[in-house]
Parts: sequence; C-alpha cells; structure tokens
Amino acid sequence: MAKEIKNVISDEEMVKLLQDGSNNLDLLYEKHHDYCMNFMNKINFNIESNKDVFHDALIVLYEKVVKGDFTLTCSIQTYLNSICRNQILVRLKKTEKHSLYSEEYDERITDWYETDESENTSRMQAIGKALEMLKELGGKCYEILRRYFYENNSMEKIAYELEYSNADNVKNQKARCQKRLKELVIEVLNK
Amino acid sequence: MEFKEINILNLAILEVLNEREHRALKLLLVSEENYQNFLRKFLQVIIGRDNTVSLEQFLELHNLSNKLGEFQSKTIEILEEIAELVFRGYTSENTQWLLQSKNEVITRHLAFLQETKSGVLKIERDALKKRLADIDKVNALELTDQEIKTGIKILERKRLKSKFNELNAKLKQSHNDNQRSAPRKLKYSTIFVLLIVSGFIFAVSIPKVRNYIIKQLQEIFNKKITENNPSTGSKVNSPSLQADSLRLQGNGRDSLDLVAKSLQSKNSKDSALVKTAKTYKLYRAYGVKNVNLKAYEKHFIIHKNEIDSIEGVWELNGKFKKYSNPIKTRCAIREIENNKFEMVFFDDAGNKWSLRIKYFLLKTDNPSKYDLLEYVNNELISKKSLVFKKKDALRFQVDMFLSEFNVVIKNSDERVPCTYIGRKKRLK
Repeated sequence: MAKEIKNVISDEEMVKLLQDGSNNLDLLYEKHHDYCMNFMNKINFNIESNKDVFHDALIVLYEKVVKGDFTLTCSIQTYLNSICRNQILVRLKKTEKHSLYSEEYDERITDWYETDESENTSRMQAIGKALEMLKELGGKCYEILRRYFYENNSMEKIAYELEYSNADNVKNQKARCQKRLKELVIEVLNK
Repeated sequence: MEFKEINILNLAILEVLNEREHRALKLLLVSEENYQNFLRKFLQVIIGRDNTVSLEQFLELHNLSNKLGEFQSKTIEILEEIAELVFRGYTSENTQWLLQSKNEVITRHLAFLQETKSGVLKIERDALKKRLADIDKVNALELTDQEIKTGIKILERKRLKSKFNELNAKLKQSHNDNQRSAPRKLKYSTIFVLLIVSGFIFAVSIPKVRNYIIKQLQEIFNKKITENNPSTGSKVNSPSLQADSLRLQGNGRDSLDLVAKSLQSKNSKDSALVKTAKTYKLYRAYGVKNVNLKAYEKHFIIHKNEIDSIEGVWELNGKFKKYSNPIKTRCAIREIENNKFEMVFFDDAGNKWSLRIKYFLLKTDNPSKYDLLEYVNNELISKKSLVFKKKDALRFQVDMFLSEFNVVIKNSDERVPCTYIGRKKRLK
C-alpha cells in the first residue's frame, strides 16, 4: 500500500487507525516489516520462524489497541522489536543448541503473545468450529460476540455501530446468540 | 347425523357414475330428500345391514344394474373409510351394528390403524425424547464467557495470520519487482542524463544560445534579490512557493488517496461524518487544501478558498438543491451568556436563516448522545434558534475530530457541519 505515507504517519495516528479496525493493519505491517525482520534475522537465521514471530507481535499490539488498554510509552517500532526479541529468545533458549544463549530479555516490555492451554482441548475445538458455523450463518451474531468478547466494546457502542435501537436490545440479542452457539457446540460434539 | 357415512357413499357413487348417469339417477329419484334416503338405504344394503333386498336388486330398482361389479369392488373401500371414522371416535347406528356383527373388514382395518398409530406414536415420542435430551444437553452445557472469548480469539488470530501471510506474499512480490526493475531504471535514467548533459553542452557551445541563457539567469537572480527584504534579511517567501511546498506530488498524493480510501472503508466503524472528518484532516495534515470529498461523502463539497474561514463555509449538494439552488449556509455556535450557547444559520447574503430550523435535527457522532438528540429535537420544534446549556454544548465536542458536528435535516440525508467559533464572536 502507501509506501510514502507509511513513513510519515505518526505512531499516534497509527494507533487511531488500528482502533478503526483490522483493515489498517496493512499499513502497520508494511511500515514495520523490514525493520523487525532485519532485526530478528541478526539474532535468528530461521526467516520463516521470524516471520511467525513478527505476525504474533502484530497481533499482540492489535489486540491491545482494540481492547483500549494500549498506551504509547515508546515508539511502535521499539514496542514491536521488544516483543519480537523476547519471543525469539524464548524460542531459541528452548532448543538445546541455544540453551546457553547469552542475550538478555528486554524487560521494559512485558506484553506477550499469550496462548491458552485449553485451546487444544476437543471442547475448545468444538467451540471454535461452532463459532465458525455461526459466522458462516451470517447475521449479526458473530459480530456481536466478536465485538463484545474480543474488542471489549460496550453494549452502547455495539448498539450504535450495528444499528440497534438501544443497548438492551443488543444484550438480548447477545443472549440469544450465546444460546445458538451452545446449540451449535452440541451439534459439533455430537458429530 | 349420518352425514359422514352418507358422504363416503356419495363420493363412491360419484366415482362410479359419470355426470350423465348421476343426473339420470337424481331425475329418477325426483327430489333431494329422496336422494338422501336412497343414500341411507344404499349404505345399509352395501354394508349388509339391510337384508330385505340384495345389492343386485337394489341397483336394478334404480336402473344401475350395470354398475354392480364396480359397487361390489367399492364395498371394501367404503368399509375401510367407515373404520377410519370409527377409529377417530365417530359412532352411529351403522357403525355400532358393524362392530357388533364383527365385520371382518372393519375389524381388520381398525387393528391396522391401531398398529400404525402405535408406530407413529413411537417415532414421534422418540423424536420428542431426543429433542428434550438435546435441550437438556444445551442446558447442561456450561459455556463460560472465558471459553467464548478464547474461541473468538483463536478464530480472529487465525484470520489475522492468514491476512498477514497474504501481506507477506504481496510484500515479497513487490520487493522482487523492485529488484527486477532497478537495473532497468538505472539504465534508462543514465541514458536520459547523458542526453540532457550532451544537449546542454552542445547548446552552450553555440555562442548565441550561451548569451541568451546567461541573460535569463541574470534576470532570475535580480528578481530574487528584489523579493528579499534587505532590512530584515527574511527569506523569499512567495505564496506560490509555499503552496508548492505543501502540495504532495505523484506517488505521494496517490498514497495519500489510498490512505484516505482506507479511512472511508465500509468496514470502518466510524460514521460517515467521522470518516469524512478524518479524511479531511488527513489531507489537511499533508497540506492538500483543495480537497473534493464528494467521492467519499456525497453531501459535501469543500471549497478551496473557503476552507480556512472561521465558521467553515460548506456548500450543500444533492437533494437540498430542490429547495434552494444551491444554498451556501454558514452555521455557527456562539456563547451568548456564560452558560448558554446559540446556534445560528446564515444564508449566503448573511441573513439569519431560521425558518428551516424547525426541520433540523441535531445529531452527534457520539453514541451516548441519544438523550441529547431528543432533547434538542424537542427544543427545535418550539424555537427558531437553538439554545442549550453549556454542558450539552461541550458534550458535542467530545470525540469530534474537527470540533465539528452535524445538523441533519429531518427525513433526508443532508447535513450542515457546524464549528464552535468561541465566545461572543460576531459572524461576518
């Protein structure tokens, strides 16, 4: 996308753009890709693994921004570098070859690409499958649940953005959607 | 009383006889009453209750002897239909007689119906049980908020990662393209520079041309000297140079347009106004003053010379032209007392434009302003100009990108953006 713009857009503007949704991730990706990758390639020669780490770091940043608990205490580039560095060091130190790796973690940034242990259970997989089905069914169910659970949006905000007349209606719709989700989970579990 | 049974028989007769034969039978029986009596008697004969006359004799009496075979074959059908009536709880003298006489067809068909009922009942009950079990399962399944949250997180991360992979591939492709085109670009630019330099050397080598170039350069130099202010020593600052320095050219402008387009994206959560305001701000931030936002927000045209005026003069476009062609409206809020604000509209000639105010509905882009919206609406119906409390006025500016808000014309999409212009400031 915008090669010139990515260089002149400020971090504050970038955060604002990210708050508007994942569409603007393109700009973030292009702006920080080269620097992060070069930075990581100096520590680790596995480019494919570095790419994954970069993607994870972007997700960490994006999730914090959309949840509204991201405060710029340093530049976005520094923030991403620190996450990438820490993630890559953990990966390297796990391998025998690098068990004595001397690089230290960047302790200024403690944000981390967290994964839940329960993610791999059959129950969670069924929930994931049911959510996919809910998404494919269309309607506003998945969107309501996504905005509520993933982006921490208030009922009022969801009502405004999804054009419901008030927050109570969204609340009721959310309850109906959760019930539908439960039914789909059972459907998946019974298969 | 026996209407249901008689109806069964009547239908059987209509199947056996054609229209002409049926009409002839009715003519023979003279009246409808006689026909009903005929049906009653016929039913008793066909089920064997009336033994005073045989079926053959009965048919012969009514000129239907040629239909004996067909009516004989209908007998079982008629009995089975009567059995179904009995099964559903119907009772009459005929049915009671049939049951008492243990009519074989009736007994057999009743047994068949009972079996079917049991079977259907079983299937239905099984289905019902399954549904109830499912409901139990749904009720028993405790799907916690945390689980839904984790599920959505997994799904969203999957979506983002696939998006990143696409971007990665695109970026790689563009890097490759750049690498491939770089030597070619270098080749062509070298040839171009060589041509220019050799042309210049050739031109300068001609004395007449050389003299002309020197003369022109001298003139430009002299002009620069006069534009400078020797007393203050300030730099040359002509408006055209400033404008040029603000204007983005070529790829820069293309890129800006791309970012603007992304701001206008349908997937953006912003309202149309905030999208427009953000786009406008983006262009302004990069010095592009003459922005026609019509492509992004069809209701606004921003004029180059008017964009910096304090109120922000906007020209309405679209449907509004129907009423006045076109109206340039200035809209402003000013503080008339310490805690009161007034919103006024001025037309192009500077006259107060209050007649239309009652058709306006004030709308902010902040979702929590529904109460205010109604309050304002009520006020507008009763007053020519809007007066509201300071705290309300300040609330308008929360989240407003350019400290602007919209006035939306009721029952249409038209909007007049307003800007707060400060306390007791007079409009020109």
